Amino acid sequence: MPKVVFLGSFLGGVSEAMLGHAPPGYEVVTYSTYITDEEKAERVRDADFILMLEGRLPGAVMEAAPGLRLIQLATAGYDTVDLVAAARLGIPVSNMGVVIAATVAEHTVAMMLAVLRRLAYVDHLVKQGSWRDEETGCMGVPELGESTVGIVGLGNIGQTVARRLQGFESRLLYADIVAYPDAEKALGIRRLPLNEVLGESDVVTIHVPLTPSTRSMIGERELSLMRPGAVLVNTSRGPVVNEAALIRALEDGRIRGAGLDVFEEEPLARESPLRRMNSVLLSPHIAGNSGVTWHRRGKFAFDNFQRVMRGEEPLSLVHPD
Amino acid sequence: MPKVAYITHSSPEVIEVVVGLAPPGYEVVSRHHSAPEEEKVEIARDADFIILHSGRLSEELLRNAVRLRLLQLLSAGYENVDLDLMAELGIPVANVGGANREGVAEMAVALMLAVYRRLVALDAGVRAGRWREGLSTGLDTFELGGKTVGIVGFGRIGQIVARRLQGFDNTILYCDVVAYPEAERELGAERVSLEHLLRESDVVTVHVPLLPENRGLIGKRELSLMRPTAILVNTARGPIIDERALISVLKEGRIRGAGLDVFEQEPINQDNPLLEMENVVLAPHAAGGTYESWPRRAAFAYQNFQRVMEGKEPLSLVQE
Repeated sequence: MPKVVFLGSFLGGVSEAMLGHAPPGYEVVTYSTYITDEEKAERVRDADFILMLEGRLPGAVMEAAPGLRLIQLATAGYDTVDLVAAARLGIPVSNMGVVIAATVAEHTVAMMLAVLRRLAYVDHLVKQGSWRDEETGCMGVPELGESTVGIVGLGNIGQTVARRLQGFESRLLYADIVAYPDAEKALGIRRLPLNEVLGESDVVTIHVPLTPSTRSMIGERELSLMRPGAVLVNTSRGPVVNEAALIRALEDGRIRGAGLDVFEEEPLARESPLRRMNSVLLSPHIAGNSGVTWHRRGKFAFDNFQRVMRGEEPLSLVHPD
Repeated sequence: MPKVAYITHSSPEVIEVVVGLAPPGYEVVSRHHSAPEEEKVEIARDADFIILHSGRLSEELLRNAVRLRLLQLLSAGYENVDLDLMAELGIPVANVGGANREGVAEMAVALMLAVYRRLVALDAGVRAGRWREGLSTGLDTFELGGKTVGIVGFGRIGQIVARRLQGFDNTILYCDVVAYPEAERELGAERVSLEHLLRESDVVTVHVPLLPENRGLIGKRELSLMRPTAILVNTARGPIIDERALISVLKEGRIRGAGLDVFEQEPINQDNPLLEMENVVLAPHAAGGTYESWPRRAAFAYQNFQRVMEGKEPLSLVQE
């Protein structure tokens, strides 16, 4: 009987929704993903599969599980797993960007619109008794439909963002180390070098995984290439953007604003200047959350375990940089 | 040389855009609504055209505007104009056609997403150091993708909303006194009764003008037809929805939330219970006021004046 150890962050309803997809004959045990590495090592000893939602998985934990057949991340990001150790131990690692794409893409478009419209700030002002004035409108709010949107990373999530934007008639650009000619045709999106995407876009949105080569890929220099009225949205991983440089660009008004779901340090530090900025919209790393996503994620995970049980290669494998 | 009197609540930046786009040969004089009444009457007295944006004009001003050939609004709504008086004076009134439709449509979609994704509450939480508080179950944000969106009023703005949603794989329903077979085909929308739309939609968004017959169109009975998980978006005019009834259903959790740019009373009263509600996103009747809309609005107005100068009927007349 295959044994699955689920290391989860949101428990309760989320676990129920995900683990309800376990086929008969699976033994599933659940732990908080925030237990110590020693405890994790103890818990996974006889696991065939690890299903992990957030938290970290170092090599030492994998070594404690000699029968481990697949590490299945319930996330798109895979920076939390020691991929080098997994490769050395011959343990495959899968993510599930493909099922999370719709949710993250929608949060991304929501953030674009909300930052352009300054919805959170305006809502706050209206609740404080302000009405339509210099601060809350009406001049200076750009339309997304008239904007050029630059997508940095055109994988599953980046492509879904482009699809959600089809009705907006925005001009779409992307930068990626890989070319996607089919997506270019289907989505009317054009590939340019990163520098040019940054220089031509009114809205820049980031959809790359956090790897050694993408850490700080949006730094001081890249931010200085952005248009003065441009908006940056990050729903990928905090360290892809140099946060100190972003804060300076926002403070100096060199870009219009930012929508940030992810941060270098999470939860966001109490003293972060981002908390006091009216030009930013913040959310607590939940771009991938929704009522339905957990069912999709649970189904994907157990389908992947079933593939392994049948001797097939698992889907959505990730590899070290 | 045609003279234009431009009376507005807008900021100096907007006024500059509108005045700056006047064709050669037009003289445009602007006054803020807060200017003394005599000044407004004075600039209207020999005006061929009036551009009005928000607010009302006095009967005295209109009766004294003896050369007036068209009252041109820069808004879609026209409830602030006394149409009976204008008919008596024989002066046509035009709204701004589609010039603000993109802005309003984008705001409607922005509000749908903001309510579903709980953006405002989450932002406040992160700022206050309450990371993910209120999301403890992880099940309380929602996706617009794949949902049924009901568009009440399928005119210019309602159709652009449907267009903006093309990438979201929605089922799109609309109700309107008019059928739009071409738009239905192009946008994949289906015309149904208001009752059917309210029962079937996850998101209901309102895009009808405030005509007498639309006042209270969404009242207690209509709200009771909505799904308990549904949200309501209003970027049209406040009185189309019975606000007291809306407040009750929101309080009692009989619908999930609302995104509101317009209210029965504007500015919104400070004791309005909507101000205290976490499942409501509020904006100060600013949906159409985007940067790009002002040049479009001004261009529409001046084109309409040219039509009148050439003896043609102006576009977007609002009289019955």
